[in-house]
Amino acid sequence: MTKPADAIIEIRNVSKIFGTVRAVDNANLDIERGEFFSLLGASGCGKTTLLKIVAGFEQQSAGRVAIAGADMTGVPPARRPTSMVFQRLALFPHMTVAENIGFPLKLRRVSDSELERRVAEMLALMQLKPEYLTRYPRQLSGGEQQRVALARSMISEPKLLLLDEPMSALDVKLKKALQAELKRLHRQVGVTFLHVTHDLEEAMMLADRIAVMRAGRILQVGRPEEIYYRPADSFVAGFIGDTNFFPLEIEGRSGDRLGYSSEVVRSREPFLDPSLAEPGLSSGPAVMMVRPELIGIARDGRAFDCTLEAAIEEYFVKGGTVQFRARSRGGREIVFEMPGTSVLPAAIGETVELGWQKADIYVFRG
Amino acid sequence: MAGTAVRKMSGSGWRLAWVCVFLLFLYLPIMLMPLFSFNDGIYVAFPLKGFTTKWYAQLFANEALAHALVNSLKVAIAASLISTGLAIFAAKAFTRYEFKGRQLGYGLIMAPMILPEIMVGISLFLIILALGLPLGLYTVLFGHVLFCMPFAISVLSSRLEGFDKSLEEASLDLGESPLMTFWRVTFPLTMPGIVSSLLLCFTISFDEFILAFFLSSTETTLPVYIWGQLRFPAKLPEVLALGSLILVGTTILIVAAQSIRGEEGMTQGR
Repeated sequence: MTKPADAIIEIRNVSKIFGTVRAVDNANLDIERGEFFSLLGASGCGKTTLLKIVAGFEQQSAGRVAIAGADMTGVPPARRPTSMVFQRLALFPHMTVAENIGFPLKLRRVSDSELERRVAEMLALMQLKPEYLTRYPRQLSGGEQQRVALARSMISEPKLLLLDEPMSALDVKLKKALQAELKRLHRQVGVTFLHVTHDLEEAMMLADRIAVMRAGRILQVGRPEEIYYRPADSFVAGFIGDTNFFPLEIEGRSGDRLGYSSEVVRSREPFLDPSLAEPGLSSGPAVMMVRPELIGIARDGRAFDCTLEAAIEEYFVKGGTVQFRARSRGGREIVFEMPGTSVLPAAIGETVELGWQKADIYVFRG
Repeated sequence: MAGTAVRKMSGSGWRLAWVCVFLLFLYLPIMLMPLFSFNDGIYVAFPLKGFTTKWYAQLFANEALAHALVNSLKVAIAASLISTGLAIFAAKAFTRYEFKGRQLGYGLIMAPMILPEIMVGISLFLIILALGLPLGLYTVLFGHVLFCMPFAISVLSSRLEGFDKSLEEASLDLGESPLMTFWRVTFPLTMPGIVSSLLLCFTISFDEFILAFFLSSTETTLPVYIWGQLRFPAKLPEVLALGSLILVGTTILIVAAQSIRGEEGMTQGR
């Protein structure tokens, strides 16, 4: 891994072993200053453990974590330039909003007027009304509590804000609003955010870069579009959203192209550019990945590089798009998605010719 | 639906009857105590002889009793403070840290709750004698602290387990030291548990008889004094008057404790 010019967190060969379980398995990661970085994975993948190692609540069994160039081994959470927003927020129930937000400053012996000024500043940053100052956390809505927790974490101006699935307890609409809020906050304050989530959409929406984790390992690090359209392997491809896989046989290289054959997919020209395949793939069984929204119906003279006949089995209206499930004659299920219209382009039971362009595929070793 | 409703009706009739029998059995004897404390006669028997307050007058004139009462209050207050104070640390250790022998330690500290009290009393008595220490209120206090600890620890442990551990982590993360985290976060959040523990230990110590009987000398606590008085039939009505007063005091204490806890619940969202 090349080292970015300005890494605020350097994670080197970090492992964490609980009993016989490798919760984190040789993780390497560089997070750049000012970046919004998400650790994405299913529960139990080690993402929260890695976050807790960065925060200092867990000690790694092996490896090293440096924050802003300083080795953090043995440094307690209180003396790290990090601040954590907890999954259950951990607002102090016996303190008012003002006392909660001002908590970190109280112990830094800041004068009363300074304290009041900075609490008010944070309140404004979080777009909370001043009359909330005297309320207790339980008197606030979930979204307001979230903002108070963020304000409390930000007031001591940490270099790094750690977010442990802070939205998981909220309903969808509120979640969306707070995600937008979080993104705004990140742009406004310029602090590095390290965020943990199991929610693909959340990571896609918020993060500049994402690390996909499974069973303690980091499988891929990249920008959302890289992760989505150029996944490192078929596991990442399947984990990140809906997708279709079609079997192929790579026949070998001819010139600067790879020749292939497929019993499932008809191709106008059975060649592909090596940049559309996993690096190093030159022959043998493979799978072609196509995202649902890149598949269309071949009709009215619309030409596709690859085609496949399938019967529509069901559909559902997702909102902006309609998702269809179809089955090919060989019994293979195909998921595709089209822009929503009031008149659907195909009916259940109808056999249509589906197609996609070669530039939209990605090929993995089979 | 109609069938289950009918069954529910008849079932609840039986249950209500059972509850009434149970409550009568529990409270009728206790209710006889204030009744006979105002009866103008030394025997607890119907018919009542007439109304009098002379037993109360005698009670307030009885200096030995007042002395025993003060002794009991001293021991109970000290025992509740000491055992709750020690139990805060023990409960914190048992609920927050993983260490070798945690289970065993917990079991051993909890043992006095189930050990026959008379055995504990005799053992302590023998050891104190063997060590050549004088018996007195301090030895009673020592026994009571030992006996109250498991109750205090279980009340406080459940309180500590009841609040989110990440509250303490948050405080540490925000830059507070472990000691100040305890003072600013853990202690206030444990407060309702501390109040319950103080009240529970006070009550346990205040009416504890067996340990006090073995471990006290000439200075006795109230239960030991009462037991001594029961040998004299003429003293019985006075003991009933005393019991009635304690009943009133306890009721006031319980009601107060409940309303304090109710308010705590309001401000703490629990």
